[in-house]
Amino acid sequence: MAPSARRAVLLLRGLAGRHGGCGAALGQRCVSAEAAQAPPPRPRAPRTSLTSPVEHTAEQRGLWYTLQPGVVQRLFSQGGVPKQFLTQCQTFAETCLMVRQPSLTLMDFIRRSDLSLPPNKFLLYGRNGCGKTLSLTGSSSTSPGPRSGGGTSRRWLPSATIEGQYDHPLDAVLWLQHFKTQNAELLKTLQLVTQERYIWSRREVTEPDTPLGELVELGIGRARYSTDCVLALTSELKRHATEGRCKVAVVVDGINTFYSPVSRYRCEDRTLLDPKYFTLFQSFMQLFKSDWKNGIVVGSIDSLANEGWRRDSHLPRYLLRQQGWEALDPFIPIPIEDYDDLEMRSAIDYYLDRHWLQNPQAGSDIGRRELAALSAHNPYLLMQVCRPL
Amino acid sequence: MFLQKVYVLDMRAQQLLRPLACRSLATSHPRAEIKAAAEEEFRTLEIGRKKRERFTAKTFKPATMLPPRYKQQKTDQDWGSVWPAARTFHPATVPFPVRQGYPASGQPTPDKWANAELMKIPNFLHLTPPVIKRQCEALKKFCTPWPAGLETTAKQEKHFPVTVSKSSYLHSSPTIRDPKARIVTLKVHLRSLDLDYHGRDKLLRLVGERYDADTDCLTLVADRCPLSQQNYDYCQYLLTVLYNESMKTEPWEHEKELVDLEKYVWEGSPSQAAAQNVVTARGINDAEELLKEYGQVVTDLHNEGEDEATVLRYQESVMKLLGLTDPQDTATASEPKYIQGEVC
Repeated sequence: MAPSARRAVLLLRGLAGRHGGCGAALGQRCVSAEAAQAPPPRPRAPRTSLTSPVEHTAEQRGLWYTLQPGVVQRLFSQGGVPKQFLTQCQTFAETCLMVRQPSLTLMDFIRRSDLSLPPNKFLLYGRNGCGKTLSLTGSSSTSPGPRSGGGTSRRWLPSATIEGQYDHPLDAVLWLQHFKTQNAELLKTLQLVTQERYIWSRREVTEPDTPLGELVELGIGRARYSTDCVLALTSELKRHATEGRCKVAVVVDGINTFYSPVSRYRCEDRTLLDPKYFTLFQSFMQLFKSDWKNGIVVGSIDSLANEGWRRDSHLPRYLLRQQGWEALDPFIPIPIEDYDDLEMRSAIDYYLDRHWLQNPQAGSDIGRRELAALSAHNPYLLMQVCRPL
Repeated sequence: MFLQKVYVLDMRAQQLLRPLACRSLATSHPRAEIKAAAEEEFRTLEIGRKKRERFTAKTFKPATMLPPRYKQQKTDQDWGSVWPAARTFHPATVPFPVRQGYPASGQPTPDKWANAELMKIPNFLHLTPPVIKRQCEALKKFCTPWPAGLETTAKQEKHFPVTVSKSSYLHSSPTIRDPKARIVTLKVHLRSLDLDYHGRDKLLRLVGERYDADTDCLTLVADRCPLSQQNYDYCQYLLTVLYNESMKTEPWEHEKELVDLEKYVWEGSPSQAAAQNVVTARGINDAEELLKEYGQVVTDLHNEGEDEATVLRYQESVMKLLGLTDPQDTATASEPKYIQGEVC
C-alpha cells in the first residue's frame, strides 16, 4: 500500500497519533501532522431549489433536489423503493435525490417523444447498486401513472374469470390501493369512465360509464375480483389514452420479471408455474405493446430481478431473454454508471452536510479518496461504507 | 610440636581412632592426608563433584574433497562432449552460477548446489546452438532438399491441406512397445474444403467440439483400432464421410426451426415487424436505409455477443428509428454550479 494511503487508513481509524506510529514504522518523516489535526470545515451539500426533475438541465448535474412531502407520500407508500433508502430518508429528515445524467437524458427523451405515436420504451440498465431504482423514483415523481414493482407475489389462485390462468388477489389489491393514492385526483379531474360492461358475478356488474375510481374501489373491496379489476383498469386506461383523453406513463422496476420462464409457485402436479398465465402480469404486459398512444413506458432491467442462475450480465438482451426482447424491441437502453468524480464529491458533501459522516477526516482529500476506493465509486457500496463512519 | 610428631601408622587404625562424627566430614582419601601431613597445612575440604575434564566432541573431518569439476574446465571447451545427452542437472559440471526457487525470508534465492528444483525440471543443456548446428550438419547427408514450390505456409496448405501426425515410442524395458503409438491425428483447415454455407454449417454441427474456431482447424483423432495404419485409414474414411454428408441435404432438414438457427436472422423476426410498425406509424416513406441499418445493428447485437459497445450502437440506431436524435449536448455543458462543498 502506498504510504499516503496507509496513513489515510490509519487516520480514519483514529490510530495515528500526533507523530504517526505508521510514519515511524515506514521510516518516513511524518508529513503535516498538524494539518491532519485540524479537520476540514464541514461543507454544505450542493443543492438545487428546483424540485421537479422536469426542470432540471445539465447545469444541475450533481446537485441534490428535495422531493415535496406530498410527492414523497404518494410514491413511498407504494413500496417500490428500497427499504434502506426509506430509513435513510427518515434519518435525514428529508428525501433528496441527486441529479444524474441518465435521468436528465430520460427526461429529455420523454419531453421530445411524440405522443401521437405508439409509446416509446426507455429501459434503464446497469450494474447492481448504480441507482436504477432511484432514478426511476425520481422520474416517476413527476408523472402520475400506474407503477408496478417486481414480482414478489405471495399468494395465487386459479383465475375466477379466465380459464387456465392464475390470479394474485392480495397483490392486486395492494397495487390498486397504490394506484388510488397516486392517481385518484387525476381520475376525478379527467372524469374517466368505463366503456365496457364488466360482469363479475350474477349480482355484481359494472355498467359502462362508471367512473374508473369506482372500479378501483371495487377491486380494493372485493379481493376475489381484484386481479380482473386490474386487467379491466389497464385496458380502459389504454383505450382512453389512445383516444387522447389522458396521458399514461408506465413505470416498471425490474421489467424483466415479466419474462421469466419460471415462477416460485408449483401446481398440484409439482411443476413450476409459468408466469405467462398470471392475469396480473398480462394486464401490465398489454401496456408494453405498440397498439396504443399517448403513453410512455419507462422501466429498469435489474439482474437481481432474475433468478440466481441468470444474473451473469447486467446487459439488457441477456436479462430480458428472447421473450422480453421480442416484446419490448425497439426500446432505448439508457446505461446507468457508477459515480464519477463530480457525483462522488457531491454525495460525500451531502453525507457530511447531513452529519452522517462523523469522522472528522471524512471530508479531507485523503478521506474522500479512501471512500471512493472502498466503494469503487458505486453508490450502494458508498452508502454501506459510510454507515459505520 | 605435637602435630609434627604424628606419623601415619596405619590408615585404618587412624580412621578408627577419629570420632564417628568427624569421619563422614573429613576426607578419607589417603592421598589427601598424605599431602596435608607432608605440606603441614590444613586439610582441604572439597565439597561437590570434582570437575571432570570436558571431552570435546570428535570432529569428523571430511576426507579431502576434490574441487568441483567446472573449475578444471576451460572456457573454450567442447560443451557437447561434456553434456552429450539429456541428463539431470549436475551443479559441479555446470560452469555458471544459476539460482532457482523461492527464497526463505531474509535469504537470497537458493543457489545451484543441492537444489532439488533445478534437478527436477528438464534442462536443455544438451541442446546448445553449437551442438544443434553440429547435429544438423551430421543429419544433412540424410536429407533431401525442400521441395520447390512449397516455400510458404500458404503454398503448403494449398497443395497439402491435410496433416496427419502420429507418435512412435521405444522403451528400454522387457516390452519395447507402447499402446499410445496407435493414435493418429488428422488436421485440416475448413477453408481448404470446398463447402458452401449449408455444407459448412452441417459439418460444424456434425463434428461439434473437434472444430477450433480461432484457428479454423478440424481435428480428428482416431485410436479405436489396434494398429496405427488402421486408425489412419479410419481417419481418411471419416473425413470423406463428413464431407459427403455435409454436401447432401436431407429431406427432414427443412424442419429446422427458429431455435435451431445457428445465428440470428433479422429478416422475418418480430424485431423487423416491430421496426416496420414504428416506421409506418411515423409515416416515413423512404425508410429502407433506416431499417437496413437497424437490422444490421440488431443482428450484430445477437451474433457478435452483447457488450457495452453493441448496446450503445443499438441505442443510437433506435434513437434514429424513433426520431429522437437531437442530442442534448450534455457533454459540453458548462460546469454545474455548486452552492458549496468544494474538495478541501
